Amino acid sequence: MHLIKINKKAVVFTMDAMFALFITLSFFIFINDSLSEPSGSIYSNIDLLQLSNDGLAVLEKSGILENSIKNLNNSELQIYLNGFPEQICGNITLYNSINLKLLSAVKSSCAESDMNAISRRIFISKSDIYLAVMEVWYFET
Amino acid sequence: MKKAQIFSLDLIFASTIYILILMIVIYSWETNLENINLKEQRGNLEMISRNLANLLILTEGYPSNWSNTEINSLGLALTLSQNNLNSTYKSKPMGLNKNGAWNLDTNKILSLQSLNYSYSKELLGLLREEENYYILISVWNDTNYVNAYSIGLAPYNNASAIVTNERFALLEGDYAKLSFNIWQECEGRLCI
Repeated sequence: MHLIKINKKAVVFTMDAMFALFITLSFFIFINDSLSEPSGSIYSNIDLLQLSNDGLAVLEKSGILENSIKNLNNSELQIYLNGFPEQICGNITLYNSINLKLLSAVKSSCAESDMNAISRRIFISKSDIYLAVMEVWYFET
Repeated sequence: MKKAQIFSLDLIFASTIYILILMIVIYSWETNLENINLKEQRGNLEMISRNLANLLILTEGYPSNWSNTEINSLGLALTLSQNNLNSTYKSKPMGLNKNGAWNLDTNKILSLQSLNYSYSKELLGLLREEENYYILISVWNDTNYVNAYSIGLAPYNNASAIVTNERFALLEGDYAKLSFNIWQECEGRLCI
C-alpha cells in the first residue's frame, strides 16, 4: 500500500492576505492619485467676477456706457472687450429700465460657455436709468 | 530532532514586501505633504495679491495726498478729498464722481515708484523677507496694452512662486491694466 506524502508547510500568503493587500494598495493608489491631481486656482471664479466688476466700473467712469446708449452704437464696447487678456472671453448687454435689451457686444472669436461670472451695474444717461450686464468666462478651445 | 528555522524564506519574503510598502507610503506621504504645503502657500499668495491690488485700485491712501515723506497707507486712486489733505471729508460720493476708485493717479504711481522698496513692502504688509512684489501698469493704445510704469522688484529667474492679479482701471482717461505680482525667492529644494 502506497501512502501519499502530504506537504505540511504552512502557506503564509493565503488568499485572504493577498485580497487584503490588494484592497489596501488600491485604496492607497486612489488616495495618492487624488492628492497629487493638479487642481486649478480655487479663486479662479473670484478672478472672473473681479474682472467683470472692473470692466463695468471702467466703462461707466470713462463715459462709454453713456455714449453707447446715446448713440445706440456698440463699437466702443466691442473695442474694450477685445482688449481682454487672450484667455478671457466676455460680453456686455445694456438694458433700459423696463428690461428691454438695447445693445450688446461679444469679444471676437469667443464661444458661449456655462462657466461664467456675471456683474451688473446701474448707470444714468440723460436722466434715465439703465442696466449694464457683463458676463466673463475662460476661453475654451 | 529537527531544528526550527527562525528566518524562513517566507518570513524574509514577507519582510521585504512590508519594507517595500512602508518605503512607498513614506515617500508618497512626504511628496503629498509638500504638494499640499505648496498649494496652501500659493493660495495665501493669491489672496494677498488680490487684497493688495484692491487696496491700490480702490483706495487713495492716507493721507489722501500722500508723498514719500508722509505716508501711512498706500493707494493709487485719485484723491476725492475736499481740502486735499484729509480723506475723511468727501465732497461727492465716489460712485458718481470721475475721481476715486478705478481712476489711477499718475503722481501717486510716480511717488510709489520712487519710494524705498523695503519701506513700500512694509507699507503693503509684505513683512516676510522672501516675499517680493512687482507692479506693471500698462495703458491701452487703441490696439493693445503697452507697458507704462513698473514698480518694485521684477521676479528672479529662479523664483519659487509667482502669483499675478490683473485689474482694470483708468489712467488719465485711458484704459489701464494693473498687474500685481507677488513672488517668492526660492528656498531649499525649490532652487534650481
